[in-house]
Amino acid sequence: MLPKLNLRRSVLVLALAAVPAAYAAHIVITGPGPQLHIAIGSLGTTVDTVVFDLAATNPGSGTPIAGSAPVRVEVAYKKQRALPVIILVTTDGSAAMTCTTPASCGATTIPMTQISWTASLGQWPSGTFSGGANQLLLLFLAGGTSGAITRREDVLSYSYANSTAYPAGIFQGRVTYTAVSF
Amino acid sequence: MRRLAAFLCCLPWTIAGANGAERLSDSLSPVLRAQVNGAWEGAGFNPGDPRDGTVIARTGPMQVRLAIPARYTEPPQRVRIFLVVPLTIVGLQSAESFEVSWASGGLFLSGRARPGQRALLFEGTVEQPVLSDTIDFSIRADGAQMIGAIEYETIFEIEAN
Repeated sequence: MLPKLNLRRSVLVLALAAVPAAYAAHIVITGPGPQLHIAIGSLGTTVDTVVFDLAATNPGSGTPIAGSAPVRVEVAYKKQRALPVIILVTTDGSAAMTCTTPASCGATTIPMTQISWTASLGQWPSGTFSGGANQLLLLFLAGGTSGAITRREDVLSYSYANSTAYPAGIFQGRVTYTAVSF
Repeated sequence: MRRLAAFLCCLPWTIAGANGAERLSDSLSPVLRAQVNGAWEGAGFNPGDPRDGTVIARTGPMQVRLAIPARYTEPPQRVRIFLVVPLTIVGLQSAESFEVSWASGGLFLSGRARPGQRALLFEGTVEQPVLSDTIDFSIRADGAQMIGAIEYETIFEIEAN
């Protein structure tokens, strides 16, 4: 009988020893928030200007007028999770260019549909402003195994269609670009 | 039966130290669970710069108190203590880019380790039942591999030198 008692005592010791102790420095890390970045031209609050000079061209001749300088554009998303995220970039070209020299062009406006652009790198589409407030430009997934950062950058060269003769003068307008993620 | 009893008594030692080392408890540490907010190591959006896609978290100095089993202190023995990073990390789709580095308060060694690795934390003679120092952890992980909060648990192992 004695050996049997010894065995039970030994089994009890085993059970106690197998209880896991606390192996500490248990650290829980919550990730930083995702970041969405869009830059059209200069960084910061600067609004870049593209000039179309018709001085040497017949107005309304149909000969396109190239903009004064190409504009670098980029949209980037830094994600925290492995799950893919949809990035949407739209542009608002709904506000027409207005005459800033009323003595010559009065209240004439030029729709933004007269402005087109060509993307030289192919990461952004080439196109023409539709005149709408939410014209879709880019729709892509930031996710998969591509890494934490997804980036689409390009250089856009704008041109004025010059398909209609407008009164001489200086016209100004502004288009905006918006990026959202969901 | 007596032989069987003796065998069963020794089983825990085998479980604890598959590589000859024995896990140490740090349950005496004042903080057993720390929650820290990760931050992007780089502020930019350059896919070619690993820092821009890396999440980093720093705990600040944490007091770590390791309970040394009496067999190492009575009589005092020369030992080696290792910090072991588990092979899999909760919250990461892949732990390939995961790295832990730490700076100690002086008693322990500073170092760095990746999942599945163990790094020497202390080498010397232990005389007291508790070995204590501060450890300031810096943890890095690829943000793209995160599938939730990262839960990292440090393992401490001791072996007679």
